[in-house]
Amino acid sequence: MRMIIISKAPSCDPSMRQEDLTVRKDEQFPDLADTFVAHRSQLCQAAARILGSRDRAEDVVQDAYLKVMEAKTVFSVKEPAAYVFRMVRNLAIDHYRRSTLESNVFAVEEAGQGVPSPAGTPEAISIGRQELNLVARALGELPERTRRVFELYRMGGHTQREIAKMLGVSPTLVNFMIRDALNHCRSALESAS
Amino acid sequence: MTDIECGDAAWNQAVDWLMREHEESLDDAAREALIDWLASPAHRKAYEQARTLWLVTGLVPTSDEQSDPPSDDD
Repeated sequence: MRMIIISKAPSCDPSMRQEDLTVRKDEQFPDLADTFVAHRSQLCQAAARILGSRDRAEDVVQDAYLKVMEAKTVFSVKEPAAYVFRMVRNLAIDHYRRSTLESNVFAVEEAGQGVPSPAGTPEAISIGRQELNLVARALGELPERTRRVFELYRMGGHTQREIAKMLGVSPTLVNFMIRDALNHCRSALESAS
Repeated sequence: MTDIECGDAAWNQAVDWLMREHEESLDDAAREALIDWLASPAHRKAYEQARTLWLVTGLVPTSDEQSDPPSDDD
């Protein structure tokens, strides 16, 4: 069996072909980092569609790779491809939103310190394995229905109204459960720090 | 004790904004309103905290995706 160890983060350089990579088969599920590398150029395209810029897409994919390296120490994921695509999408959306606010809000603060941040390049949020563990555990502690609602909202991309219809409950209750989930995760992080 | 102290209005409003951004792309008027709201350092802090937490929750695989959920017992 061929195994390729990639020690550096992937670039969006298309000269590295997908066929050059072999997903390791000695594990129950493909390794997240290997999956990431194997889909590198499609991940860049997905990020570029959200951000409208190849350069910014590359920054986001690099950031996502670092986060995948943390996540793989914490989670074993059944469908790593779906997971890494969602991760890149989440980060691209975060960067995009942040960039729409950056020049108006956050740059003012940074300029005050004499370190203006160029608009459109939001700084990456550092997320460690401890935070991932705490939040995963906090979500696991939620009542099953609350967790299901949160997953439908956060990962499933459904609106509160849609979820209310799907589950036959009021939108107010759905809103309450999403807040409850976030508040519980926040408490878990705060009690550890 | 509840998960969250009463009167944590900035956090609750930050979560409101987060959910709104998650469900729709803000139009110009809404973005202006968010920018005004972020003029307060307390609001900015709450928004950043909520944004980070939102990202972390997005990195946790769903219960269906996890083949090895974190255990409480170890």
